[in-house]
Amino acid sequence: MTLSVNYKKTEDLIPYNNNSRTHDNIHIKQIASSIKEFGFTNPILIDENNITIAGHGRLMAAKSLNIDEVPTITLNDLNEEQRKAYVIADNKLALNAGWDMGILKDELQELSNMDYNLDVLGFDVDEIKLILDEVNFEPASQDEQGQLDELDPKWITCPHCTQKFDMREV
Amino acid sequence: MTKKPTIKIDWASYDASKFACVNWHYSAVIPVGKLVKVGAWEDGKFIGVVLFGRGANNNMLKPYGLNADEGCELVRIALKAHKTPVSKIMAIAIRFLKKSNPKLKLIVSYADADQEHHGGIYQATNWIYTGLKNAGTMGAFIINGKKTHPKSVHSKGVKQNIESVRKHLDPKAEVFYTKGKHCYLMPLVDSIKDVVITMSKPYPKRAKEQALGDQLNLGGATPTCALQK
Repeated sequence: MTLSVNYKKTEDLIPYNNNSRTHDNIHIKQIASSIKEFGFTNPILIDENNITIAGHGRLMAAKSLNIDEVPTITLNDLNEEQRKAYVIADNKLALNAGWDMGILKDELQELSNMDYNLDVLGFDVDEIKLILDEVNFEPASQDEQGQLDELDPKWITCPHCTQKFDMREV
Repeated sequence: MTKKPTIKIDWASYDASKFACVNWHYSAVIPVGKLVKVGAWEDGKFIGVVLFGRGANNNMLKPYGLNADEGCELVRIALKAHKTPVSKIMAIAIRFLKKSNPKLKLIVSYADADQEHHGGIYQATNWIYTGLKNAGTMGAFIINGKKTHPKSVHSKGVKQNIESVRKHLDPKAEVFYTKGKHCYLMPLVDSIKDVVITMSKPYPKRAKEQALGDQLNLGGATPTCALQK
């Protein structure tokens, strides 16, 4: 299979009706930030009818950025079942990868030292802090703790005489 | 020779506790209700919490003849990667708890068999094992492919039975039957120790060891690392 990249009008590309992968607004903004920073580096995969096979998030992000044309690759060689399966596989296979947290930490640290904007990487601020081991908390006071060897008062109002009593004394 | 890390145990804030539970505990949630939150700092860095609470079951202390204010449950050990043994952190945390809650007589804790936990940490610190509780009972529902606690179902205003769950949340929902929880006890006073020691059972083995019988002969209890992410 020889692949060639063709630029197509964004408005001509059709999302697949039964795409099971979801993209919330935060995710679309993250993809859009990435496109703005790095360019449209990953073509959208489509079938011969311009129906999207992989890249629904990129397509939504392109629309949010008013990009007129996007790079696409048409997969002519897949039969209907394969197309259906690949819509899922393309997403799921990427999810199955892991991270070498040591290398990731070193790379993020280097980028951070270069004052590079880490917001375009897809991690949220807390995740980055966690990876860079920048999360720290100071000890709290005892006043912030519950007292487990004492029961709190549990006030009951008698529906007949309206008198209040503490259940702990019963 | 590697330098021995310094460990400091002190009170933890709710935010610190929540952070540790969300990021370093398999449940990814902080328990609700009243909590005593004990934090651990290794070489000056926050490494997580040991949390104590009243426990989800109001009758938890009844089998030991205790009132609700005479015992508590160790509800979370949420620690990131660290050098100090978990059992040491837990032991200091218990001492810390006891100092501020002097009337406590017993701590109860559970190791979740559904997570393949067998309570290695408790075994390493000589807790008393009293058996597997609630095995084979309804532990959760599988809703939209996700294991969901009956309390979450209740909080959505849906009755905690499969018919209601299927009607209101997911027609393909299933009941998840739990493997149960291993129950461990740590008496804090001699009078209770005398009571609970009579309920003592032999420690359960790690699930894999159990499957292989005694051939592995690994010996001793290895604290479970599944408590960390």
